Amino acid sequence: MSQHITDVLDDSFSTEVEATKLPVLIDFWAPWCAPCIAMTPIIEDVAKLYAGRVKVVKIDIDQATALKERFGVRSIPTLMLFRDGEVIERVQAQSKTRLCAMLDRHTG
Amino acid sequence: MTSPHTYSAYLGDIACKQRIVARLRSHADTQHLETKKMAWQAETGAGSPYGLALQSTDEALVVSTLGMPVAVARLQEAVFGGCRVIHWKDSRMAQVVTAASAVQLPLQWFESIAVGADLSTLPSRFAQALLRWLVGGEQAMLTELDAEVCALIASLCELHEGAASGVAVSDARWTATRQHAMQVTDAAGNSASQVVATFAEAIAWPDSEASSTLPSAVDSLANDLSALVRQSFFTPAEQALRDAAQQAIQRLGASAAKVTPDDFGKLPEVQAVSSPDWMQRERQALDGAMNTLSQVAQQWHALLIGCLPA
Repeated sequence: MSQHITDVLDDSFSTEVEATKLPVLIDFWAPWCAPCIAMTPIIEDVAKLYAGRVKVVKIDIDQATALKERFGVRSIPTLMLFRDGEVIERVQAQSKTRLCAMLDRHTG
Repeated sequence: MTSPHTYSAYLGDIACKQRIVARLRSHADTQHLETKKMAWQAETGAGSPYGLALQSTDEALVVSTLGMPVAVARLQEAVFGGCRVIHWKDSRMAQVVTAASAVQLPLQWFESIAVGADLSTLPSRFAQALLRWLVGGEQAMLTELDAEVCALIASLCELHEGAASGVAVSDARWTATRQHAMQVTDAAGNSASQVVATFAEAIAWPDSEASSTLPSAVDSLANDLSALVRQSFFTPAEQALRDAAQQAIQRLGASAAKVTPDDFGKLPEVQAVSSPDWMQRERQALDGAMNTLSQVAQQWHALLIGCLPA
């Protein structure tokens, strides 16, 4: 796991995401999900590229079942951008081009 | 992202190549070859091409043991991943396996790489080759491409060609190309144009970024082409019914309500495309798409080998 990515579970969501001042990109994933694994290099690159501007976290939906329910995650990978405790974007698998464009829109 | 690095395939050691090729040869005719990414299971001896070559899932060994960029390993496995076909059992999708005609490809790949070759510009060369393949007009599912899409491909080929031959391409130019490519994708007039433009925008990055951009773009392209082929099995009216079912599933999935798989099955739009006859046709369409894609991926593998430096 990249040093720029944090694993989040049900009991750490509040401190790692909701209490964070930066926008937070959340990658809902699971180890058995091939498209999620395919997205991993992109997520790692993006975390490095936006370090200090966007916090990147990964949530394993098999481990964090309460978060999966809370955010109605029914397919993975699901990516959400959080700011000030609210979901401001929600997308499925994305190219690095589209993901960076989305982050640029929200980070200026 | 990777830092500048000098690569020498097989670390310049013929014995290293012989060892790797012997490993792949021993797996070529067995069921041990998988279309997963960087996979290796010591207990069964099964794995992906690079997993088998390294007998490990540690990507760092691609550089330290094979003298190749990680981007190249991911790219080869992404291309080889398209060579999968379905085996059916009692009308159920039993397993996805490598096409029989493709099992020798990983062996050919490792045999074709010259000892000491620098593969650092291979991603750019393959990107150009694949872009040209997409607009070459020989693929039935990729006809009637928008002129704007073809122009985008031509300019992107120029950029990758420059990068592969050592011409400095500024970050600003790559960024501008990506922004233009996204506009072209959003304005694409038909599915085929959208698929090609989507691929182009995803790979409008320099080689230093290729380890994350190009393999995932190849994966997505394979899926998008498969969907195009599946569409061709249905009339426009039938396609509209399929689209309506898909949209209804997405709407229900995105709703706040708790839903079960049965709830999706109860949607009228889904029931309209769930008769036994329809399901049989969906299965035929999926088989057709996977077989076409497998042939396409084998062509891509040949393109990839053709991009290797002498």
